[in-house]
Amino acid sequence: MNKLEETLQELGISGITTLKIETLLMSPADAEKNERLYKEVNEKYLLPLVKQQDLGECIHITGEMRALSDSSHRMVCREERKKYHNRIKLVCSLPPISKSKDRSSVFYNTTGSKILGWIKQDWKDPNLKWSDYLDIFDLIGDDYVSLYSLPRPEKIHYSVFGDEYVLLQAHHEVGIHKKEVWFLKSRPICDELREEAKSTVKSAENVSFSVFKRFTLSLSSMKALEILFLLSEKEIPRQKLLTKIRADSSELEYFNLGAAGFIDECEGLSKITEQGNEYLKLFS
Amino acid sequence: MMVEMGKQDIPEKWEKEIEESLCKMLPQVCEANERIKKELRMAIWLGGPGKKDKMRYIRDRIRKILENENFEVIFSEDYSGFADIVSKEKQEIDTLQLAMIMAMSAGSSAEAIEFANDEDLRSKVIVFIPKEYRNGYVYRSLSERHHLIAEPTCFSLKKLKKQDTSDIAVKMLHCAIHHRLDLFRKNRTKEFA
Repeated sequence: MNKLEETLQELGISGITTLKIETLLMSPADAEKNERLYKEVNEKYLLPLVKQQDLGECIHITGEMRALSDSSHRMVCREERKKYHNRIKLVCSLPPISKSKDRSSVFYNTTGSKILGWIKQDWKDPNLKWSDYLDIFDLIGDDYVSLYSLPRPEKIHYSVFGDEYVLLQAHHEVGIHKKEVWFLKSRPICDELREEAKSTVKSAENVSFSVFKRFTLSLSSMKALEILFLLSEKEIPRQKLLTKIRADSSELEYFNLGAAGFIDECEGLSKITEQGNEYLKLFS
Repeated sequence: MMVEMGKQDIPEKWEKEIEESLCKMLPQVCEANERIKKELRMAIWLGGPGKKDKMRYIRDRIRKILENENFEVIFSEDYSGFADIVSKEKQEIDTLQLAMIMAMSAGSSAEAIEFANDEDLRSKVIVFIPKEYRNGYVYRSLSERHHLIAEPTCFSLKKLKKQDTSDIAVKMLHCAIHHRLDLFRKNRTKEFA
């Protein structure tokens, strides 16, 4: 049995010799080649399908929502939502989301920064800049995609879209970013996996866009900008900085700016980072 | 000639308090805001007490305050009410960046709930609600189910009625400025990413 048959069998699909399957693209377990394949799928298949209004119900079953790390895929999500009001569904396994109902609770408000920290640590992608992470957060925060979380990631990850397209990954451990990937054209497999994906979505928890929106909004608040402008002039002890910014509740902005990598602390002094200076330039 | 001030006009006291609140900003943030407001005219849907409501003048005043800050303000009445809007108008609302709703009356609370349940609009809604309604269905639903109420968007209805305070106007203006800064940031981030 080859690796593709084995992977499909793990998803409950057997007897593939009798099914009509066309392998459109294939990548060996090589991170760079995997990336190339994803890019090709986005540009040559997904975007044209969106333009033709043929994307259908697109569902990603992933471990760490890395599908969003690709800017062309983010474009696909935005186009589909803006033009046809459809949201791409993405299932992953996030760290536990706070259930606190207390809006003022620090834990409730810092869930976004917790997720960002988890993504950065897990993806370990040197090609992604702060602006990519913010763009991903904006995409979810503006409700362009529907995000779902499972307590544990599914064993096999795949995506279904159009009437007959399936992007399938071989079984791999969490955090391993190289695996065999197949891009298949097969109506029966697409139909079967779409039903499977729908049932996975039903069993997962819907993650509110507001978790992501709260985080990005906190980075562009007047208090956040004050922190960045002050630190762009000189390093300041944390407490002195927060007292200077009149408000009693700048702790959250301070915390989230740190999580975004825009400010840092060294020997008791708060300072702006290179990324923070770049970010501040957006406003000038 | 003396011009009689209508209830819907912005009182001097409010103007002073609003100016004071903006002056508290760091000069660099003020400068950024001034520059951005010239570059980006953001449209805001402003929901709240309707024509026959005694508190309607508050909404009229806030409209003027926001327009003075170069926001384009749209009232639901311009569309003969959200419940009746036709699809063309709905499309126009979709292009809005922010909908601020003062949930002070039955009608405006219903509008807030309707927006919160609309998949195309829910991420753009900020609801301002009296603290006095904290145990009510609308507050709890918007806060716990829809996650649309944050502590800073609550205000005291008692104070507003008794002392005609500018508190809610200051909060709504700051919220609008914050969202304009964020929209500007978002557009620039996309260029970077």
